[in-house]
Amino acid sequence: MTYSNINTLFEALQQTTIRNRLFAHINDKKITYGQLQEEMEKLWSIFQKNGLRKGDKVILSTNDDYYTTLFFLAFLRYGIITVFIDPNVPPKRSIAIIEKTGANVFVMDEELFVTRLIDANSTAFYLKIQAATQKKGKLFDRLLKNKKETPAADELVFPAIMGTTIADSHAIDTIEDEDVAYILFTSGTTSDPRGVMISHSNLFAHLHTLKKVYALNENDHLLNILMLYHADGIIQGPLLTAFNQATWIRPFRFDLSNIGDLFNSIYKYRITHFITVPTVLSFMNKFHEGYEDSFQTENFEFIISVASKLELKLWQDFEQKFQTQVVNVYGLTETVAGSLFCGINALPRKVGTVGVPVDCEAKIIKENGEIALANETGVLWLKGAHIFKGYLDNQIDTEAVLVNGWLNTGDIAIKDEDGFFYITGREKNTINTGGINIYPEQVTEMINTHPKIAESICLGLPDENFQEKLVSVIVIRPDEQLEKNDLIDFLRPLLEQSQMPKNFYFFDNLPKGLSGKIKVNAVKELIESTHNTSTQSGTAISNMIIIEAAAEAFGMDKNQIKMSDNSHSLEGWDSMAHLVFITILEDRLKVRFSTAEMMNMNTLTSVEQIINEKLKAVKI
Amino acid sequence: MSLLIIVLIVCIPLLFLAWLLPEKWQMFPIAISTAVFLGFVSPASLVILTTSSLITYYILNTHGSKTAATMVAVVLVSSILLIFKLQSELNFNITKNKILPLGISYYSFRQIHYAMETYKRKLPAHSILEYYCYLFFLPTILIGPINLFQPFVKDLRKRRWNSVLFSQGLERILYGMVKINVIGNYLLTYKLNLFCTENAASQVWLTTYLQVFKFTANAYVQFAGYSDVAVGLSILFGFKIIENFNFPFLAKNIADFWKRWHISLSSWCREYVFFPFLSITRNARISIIISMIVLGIWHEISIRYLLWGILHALAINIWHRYESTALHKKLSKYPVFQNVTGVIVTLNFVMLSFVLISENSLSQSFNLLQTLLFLKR
Amino acid sequence: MYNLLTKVMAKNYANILMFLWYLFLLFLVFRYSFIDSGRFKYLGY
Repeated sequence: MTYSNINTLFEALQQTTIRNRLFAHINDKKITYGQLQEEMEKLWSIFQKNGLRKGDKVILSTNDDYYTTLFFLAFLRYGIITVFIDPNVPPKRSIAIIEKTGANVFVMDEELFVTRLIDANSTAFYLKIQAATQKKGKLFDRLLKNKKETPAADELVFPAIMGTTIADSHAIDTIEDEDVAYILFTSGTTSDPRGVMISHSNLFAHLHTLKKVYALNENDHLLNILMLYHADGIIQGPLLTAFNQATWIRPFRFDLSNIGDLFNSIYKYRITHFITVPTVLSFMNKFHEGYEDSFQTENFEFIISVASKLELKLWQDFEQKFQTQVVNVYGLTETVAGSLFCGINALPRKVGTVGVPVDCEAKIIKENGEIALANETGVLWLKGAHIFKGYLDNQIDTEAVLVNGWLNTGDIAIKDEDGFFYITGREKNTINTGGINIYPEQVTEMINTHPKIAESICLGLPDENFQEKLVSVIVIRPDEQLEKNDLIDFLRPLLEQSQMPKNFYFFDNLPKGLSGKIKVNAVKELIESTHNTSTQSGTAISNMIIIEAAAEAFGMDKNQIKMSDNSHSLEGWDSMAHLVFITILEDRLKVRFSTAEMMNMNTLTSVEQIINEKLKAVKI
Repeated sequence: MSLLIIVLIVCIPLLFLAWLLPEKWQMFPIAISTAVFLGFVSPASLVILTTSSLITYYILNTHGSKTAATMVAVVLVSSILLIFKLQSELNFNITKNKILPLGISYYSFRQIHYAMETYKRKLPAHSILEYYCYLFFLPTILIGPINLFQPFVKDLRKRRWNSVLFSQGLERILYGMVKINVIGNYLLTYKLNLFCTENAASQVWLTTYLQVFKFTANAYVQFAGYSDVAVGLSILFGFKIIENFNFPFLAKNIADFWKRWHISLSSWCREYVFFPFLSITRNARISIIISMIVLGIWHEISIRYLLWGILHALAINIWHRYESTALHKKLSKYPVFQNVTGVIVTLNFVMLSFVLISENSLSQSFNLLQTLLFLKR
Repeated sequence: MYNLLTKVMAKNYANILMFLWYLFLLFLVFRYSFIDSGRFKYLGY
């Protein structure tokens, strides 16, 4: 049951046995394959009526997760090229992208037409998506509202238009392998955005690979709550699900306050595969109390970590704490989603690596242009059927990264004797924060437009939860004053949420090389010197103290005790030993614990947390 | 027994509602029927539970100072419990009819648990409806266990139909009923009693010993049986609640025993009595005595339960003292011997301690003890 | 117990045995349900 292209995939989904199956559970909405088909066919009839045809480029931009999915699948099916623009992309960049693609067809949220200065009358075709804000039970309101806001007769408003449309499945064009499936803008500058073009053959080659490595079938339930305007969200979410006739679960969007629900959803929705990013894993690892058994269900298979580097410590901690398996995937937007895989049962496994290439070739090229031997550092190149076609209308950039079918990933890697790849650094100038790639030049470009700023640079610093964070280092023009909050207000309309620097540092001047270029590493040192960097080593020390005290109090060997232990897992941790444990800690750390603190110290990690807070308080 | 049967019967239609209604309505029938059930069986209890939980919820979730709010809530709930316990004791002496509001011992401790966890800031964000679902949960309203709020809310949010779990629940209820009826009522209460009365004249010591064993074993089997039914019923509704017993008669020492016997109560006392007192007094021995006294008089406010609690506290302290002696370390080299003697000594100690509470008066208890310890012929 | 049985015999037989076992226990429960130990003091209700 594998499909070589979109034509055969959707023909198979027509079967009556599949039509009743659940395709997706998005927020509170449940959509069967039959409903999906019907709505796609309605869209087809709308497209036909309005002269939309194969090869047209459409700007897709909506906050509604189901509509994003529906339109993307429909466009795929009918050969229309989706150009994804995250609805949160600031107007300036969106307008540049729209200009770059030359697209004249728009499917966007209503308000985006205003902010992006689209004159509906000058477009070839458009659909305005109206947010369904009416709540149930407010029937009266809804009736009144509908009367007032009836759109002009010829206005195409979605989803209202679906009610009057009849499904049509005739005269569908056959999609060729080399047709472009979608375009995702990932890099480049704001004024010159760079769009990654993925063809149908790229896409389907990779769907096959993913199906194979994850061993997916129609009974699987994929939990993916990643953003749909990134490849890992849209491809490894709805599309991979439809490809396997499985079920996609997206009960909510990720938010720190619903970590508990995230754990609960594994059991509740019978999840088999959980596709996520290391940042989410890091938060789950932190707020684990009472949820340690969440992955021990009869259905769950493994976690798939994508989009950014999965640190060895997090990987090990997570697997040990939750007694589950984490699979690490390495890939780029240019490779559809993945390329190298580590930790899947059928494949050899080495924690801390990105594993081995599947259905593709990988090589490491040293600085001198030679192929690296084992344990030699160089740039990682990939070749395979899933490597993208090129950047949209950008021959120069395409040729720079695509050489004889080999893609320059821009990542620095090492291959060990056993053939496992390690990603050790980056040649390209990007920052990966919580699985999202940020191009610091884009941010610097925007910050420099501020009239009071003489020069600035954005760079990435390591971060415990987000792997990296973006910070901005700024030199203000002489005799000028600039408040941080004013700067943030200035930047908000110019930057995406994730592009906003987490910290701003103001200096009188920046270290520069002979050519006048700002020296990034020297700037990093400058920042470090302003910080109190003792916290990192402080944690390590308190861990040792905790384990030593525990070993002494519970009459055990230090090696028998792990930070993940609690009062139930350690035989010797009874009420009497608890007092001994606490007094040892109090003696060594010269602190005194309060009642609430003592009552909370029932796991070693909570002890660590309490001590860290206590020591922090003492310092201040 | 009859109350348990009523609960079981009420649960049958409830189960259909709890799984067939739209998801957000599934819990309300349980809470509402619990209230109705309480209203019929013990109206006083319904009034107390409704008002005290409303007040404590309001104080704990609106008051700025969590410490003060917790103090008020704990004092309020425990004074209500104390007043009714004391009054029921008075009535007991006069009319021989206990009118303690149904389930008050259990839900008061649940409310205190909720207050203390608020103080520790360990509660997830939740609504008052979830709090009421927790307190008005039919399977545990009668005889515990004192289940915890966090796991309850977790299950409330993740529960879904699971046929494997459901059949486990049914099996649990059946085993619970077997424990209560067959082992407890028939074998121990009826058969063993028969044997004892027949041989009472000829075998004084043996029959006395067996009577004591009967009481202890029956206490375990009955209570574990009721707990099985409660756990099983909870599972049927999609909730996994705390286990109350873990083979207590296999305990290797008295501290171990209290990790296996009435676990929900003993861990409650450890969390909310022992640790707070430990942090104040920094003296584990005194803290153990205080928490065992609370544990004892939770059952009933009386001299015998007070003595019973103190006796267990002393035993635990002696055990901890012994644990650090050279003799204990030496014996650790022979684990089989150590474990077997440990189990025998612990069980017999527990049986002796139960003599204190099995008889109607302390003088009867002392009589029995004299016989058992060969002090009287 | 079911797990133990399935190790010794085929699943079908184990199912039947389990069913009989439950029936037997149910019978016992009803057989002795007439004996009432009354309200049991230790239970604290």
